[in-house]
Amino acid sequence: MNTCKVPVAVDDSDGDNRWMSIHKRFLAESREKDADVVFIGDSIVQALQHTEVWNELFAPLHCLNFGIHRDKIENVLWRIQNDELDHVKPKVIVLHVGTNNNANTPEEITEGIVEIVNNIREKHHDVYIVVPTLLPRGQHPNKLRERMSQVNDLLKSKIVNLPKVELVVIDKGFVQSDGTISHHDMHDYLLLTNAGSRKAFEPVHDLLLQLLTEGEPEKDLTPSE
Amino acid sequence: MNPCVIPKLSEDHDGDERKLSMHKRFVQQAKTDESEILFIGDSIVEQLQFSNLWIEKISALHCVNFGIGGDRVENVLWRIQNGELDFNVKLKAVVLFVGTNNTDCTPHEIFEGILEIIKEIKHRLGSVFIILPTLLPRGQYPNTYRERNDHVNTFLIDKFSNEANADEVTDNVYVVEIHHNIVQNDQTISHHIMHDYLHLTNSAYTKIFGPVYDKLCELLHK
Repeated sequence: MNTCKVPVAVDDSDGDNRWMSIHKRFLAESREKDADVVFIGDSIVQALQHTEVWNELFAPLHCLNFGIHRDKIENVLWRIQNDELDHVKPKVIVLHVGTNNNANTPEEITEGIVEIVNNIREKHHDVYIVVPTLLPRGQHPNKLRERMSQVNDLLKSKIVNLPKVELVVIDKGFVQSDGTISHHDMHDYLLLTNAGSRKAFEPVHDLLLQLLTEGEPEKDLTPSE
Repeated sequence: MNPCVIPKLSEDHDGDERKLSMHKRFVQQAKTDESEILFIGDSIVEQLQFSNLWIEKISALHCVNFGIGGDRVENVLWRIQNGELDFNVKLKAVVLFVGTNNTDCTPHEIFEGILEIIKEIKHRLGSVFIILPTLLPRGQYPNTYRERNDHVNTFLIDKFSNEANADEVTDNVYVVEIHHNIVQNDQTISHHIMHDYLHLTNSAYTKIFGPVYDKLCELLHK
């Protein structure tokens, strides 16, 4: 059984219950605010909100950020099935999750991401769904990087035929020729710095501009490298 | 046995050894940096370096940031025993802030662990100023983690701010009480102060860690 496809809330009710507090706040925000774009996902999405890049490129596009640090695919799935996207009518939803699914295979992670895409589609028939590729991590080569890379390859084939779902390649340019990732790009070898965020998310921004201002995006049929 | 006093490298549950990489980077940095002030601790220290307060004020004091997200008391103890205090130059002050992640420990265990870190700092660095900001509350509503951190603060304040308890451990150690005015009258914490009810927003860093900066200036006559 693929655990990525079984929605699960993060339960810290014995502790300080922050995850549920954050989820409820997102529910409230989705009711109170108009948004053209909703970002939903994990640590990388959450951290993005606190960068200059967010203020400069994404805030002006009326974006909501529903990222939660450490979220796995099944947590995001739970949030979507528990109304986080029910009261918004965005034109684009950006989905980025998977790096924290350490116990899952690339196939399971990919299926989980597609499951989320299907869930979003059920709620929003016409929304564009943008899926940035998963990022490498760790200072040196490691099995997590391999896993992310395999997921990205699988996603390319799974997503290419889904209408109004766009994969954006954002994972190039981080692993240097010596195989290392610089802390100037990822200060803890996972989360992006301002410079790293710009490198990764400018392509997402460019696509959002296209999707928000034109009727249909120009389909780029050249395979991206 | 108190886990907080047993030095331990942070475990690599993920499989990419990020924390070890950061530790090694810090050890290298200590050898070559000419900083006078070290900030060391957990994610709240780590994220401080991206705040306006750090960029506009703290960095001008020649500070270096050895914060690692997720770190527990025993992880910081391990790090300082394994090279992160081996600076090329003489450090004038260490700002120590860790404890909130020891959610399975008693307040007294956490307090003992912090004492152990302080003793280790003194042993290695001699007469350096040690600044201890009090642990922050967390969670949107009242909860056991808030109580734990509060309790630790009571121990810290009693030990270090009470002249009746002065001894060689308390020498040159200054507790800065930063945990006030965060919990509102209705006992909630606003996401405007802590965006995830644990980590500080940019403006909150200015308000809450400002007094730490002031204390550093006062002690170092800047």
